[in-house]
Amino acid sequence: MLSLLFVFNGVLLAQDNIPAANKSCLTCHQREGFSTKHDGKEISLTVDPAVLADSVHKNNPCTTCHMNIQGFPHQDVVYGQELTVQVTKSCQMCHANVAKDYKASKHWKATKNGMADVSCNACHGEHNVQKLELTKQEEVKMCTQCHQGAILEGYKQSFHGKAVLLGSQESASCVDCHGAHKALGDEVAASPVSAKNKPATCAKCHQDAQANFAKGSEHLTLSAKDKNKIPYYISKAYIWLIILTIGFMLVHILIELFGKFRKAKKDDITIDVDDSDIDLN
Amino acid sequence: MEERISFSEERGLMFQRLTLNQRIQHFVNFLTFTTCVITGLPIKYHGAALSAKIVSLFGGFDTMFYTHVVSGILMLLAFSYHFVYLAAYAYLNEPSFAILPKWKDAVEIVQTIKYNLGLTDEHPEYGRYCYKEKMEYLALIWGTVVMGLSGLMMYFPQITVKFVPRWVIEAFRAAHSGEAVLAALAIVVWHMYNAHLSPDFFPMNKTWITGKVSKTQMEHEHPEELREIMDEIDYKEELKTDVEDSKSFKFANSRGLIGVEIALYAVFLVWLLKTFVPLGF
Repeated sequence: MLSLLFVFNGVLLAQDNIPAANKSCLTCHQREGFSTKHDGKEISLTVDPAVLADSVHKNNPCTTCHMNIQGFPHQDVVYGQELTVQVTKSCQMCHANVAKDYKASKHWKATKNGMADVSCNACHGEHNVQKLELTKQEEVKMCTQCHQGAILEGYKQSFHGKAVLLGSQESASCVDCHGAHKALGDEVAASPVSAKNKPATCAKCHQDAQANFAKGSEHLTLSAKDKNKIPYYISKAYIWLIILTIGFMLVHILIELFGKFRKAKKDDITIDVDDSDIDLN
Repeated sequence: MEERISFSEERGLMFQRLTLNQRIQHFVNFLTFTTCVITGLPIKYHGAALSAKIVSLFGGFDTMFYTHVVSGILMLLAFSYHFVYLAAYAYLNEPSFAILPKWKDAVEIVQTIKYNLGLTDEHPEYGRYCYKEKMEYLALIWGTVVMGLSGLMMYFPQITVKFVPRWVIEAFRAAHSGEAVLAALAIVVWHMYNAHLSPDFFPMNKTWITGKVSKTQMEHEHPEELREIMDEIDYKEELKTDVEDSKSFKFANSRGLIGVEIALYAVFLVWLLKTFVPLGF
């Protein structure tokens, strides 16, 4: 068995990026199809060394994140949501500043309670963990994996949303207003979109944004049920103005064309205005 | 100064209708309007496949959007110039109110429709501007006011909210969006017919380039104005000419063209109703 380990190590030594401590972990965990059964579900235990070598954590020992695994055989192994919470807690050992914001967020609450997986890894990746350098479009795509419905519809109808969805790199994505780690919800005073902080958040882009500027819904869908019906009725009024005006024009043109068609058949004259009283002489 | 009446070997007597100044105003309006439509509709219809293509034509949303803003500002400058021009005209000449609607126009609309339906043989005798031209001019004034005002409110929201609550911007945004479609359709339907597709002018009324209208066209389009001009001048003897206008009304009796156009506008009418009526409820 020991000699077998040495053989594996020999193979792994060729991959010089991998910290020595991880080589023994990978001895088992890089095997394809390496899995276990938990609660009747097949759980893969395979880690691709190439994926690991690509991440910003490539020089970290596996045990920085999997803190409870200190020996072999492993003690107190957890799976699924429990594992997610456990690993997320280990992130704050190094990323203390960000973790402070994150731990106050709704995302952590939801993750902790098992309502959803919005852990650090959910956005940043697991074994391929990366610093996120996303375009506005990728940011929206990431958030809207979960945030759909009226919020997304309202964003799509807003100028910010239309611009970003058409490729703008200047308009506001979700995180520009809501923050990434500080996704607190607008009822929390510390949130960038709370009534108190909104003017300052708007002012990040809109210079000299007044308090009045931030009074209003950004995720607005035109609807008669909305608090503000006036924009909705204006847009409906325009629909009918278009139907009546353009409809009148088209009918008028059609009548004129029918008249011309009939004339062209009846007599071959073009000018039928009586010009006898236009005295050129 | 361009002569008011000139002579063309092919078309006989020619009457000056648009001065160079007016033609340049039309041209600037034509360019900025077209640019605003092309760069604006993708924002309204951000989900359409064509919108993404137009955006990529501009190399990205942000460039397209700034083109829209710059072109809108140029249009507003041309619009402001027009009122300076009107004031200067009124100061240097007699002020003219010929463009304003009068009761005569209502009578003429009814009579024109009756004439085209074959209910009367008498075609109304239009003056300097007929109701079609008045409608278009006044729609342009109204449209530029709505688009300009709402555009400025949206582009300078932090200034707007010093005077009005934010929902007012949202209301004007709905107006900007509706008026845009109304204006674009009005140009495509009304202006394209009256200047290009009308069998009287097909394929194009060149007055917007030359500024001139032949006597034959004047007799047909503005008989009352022609009579007024001829009453005013005292050198009628010199204007005697036997030259017939060989260029105008080439397709006026082409039943093929008229038939195709009837089909075209009928399809357009069906499209209008099918597209907009469901949106109206």
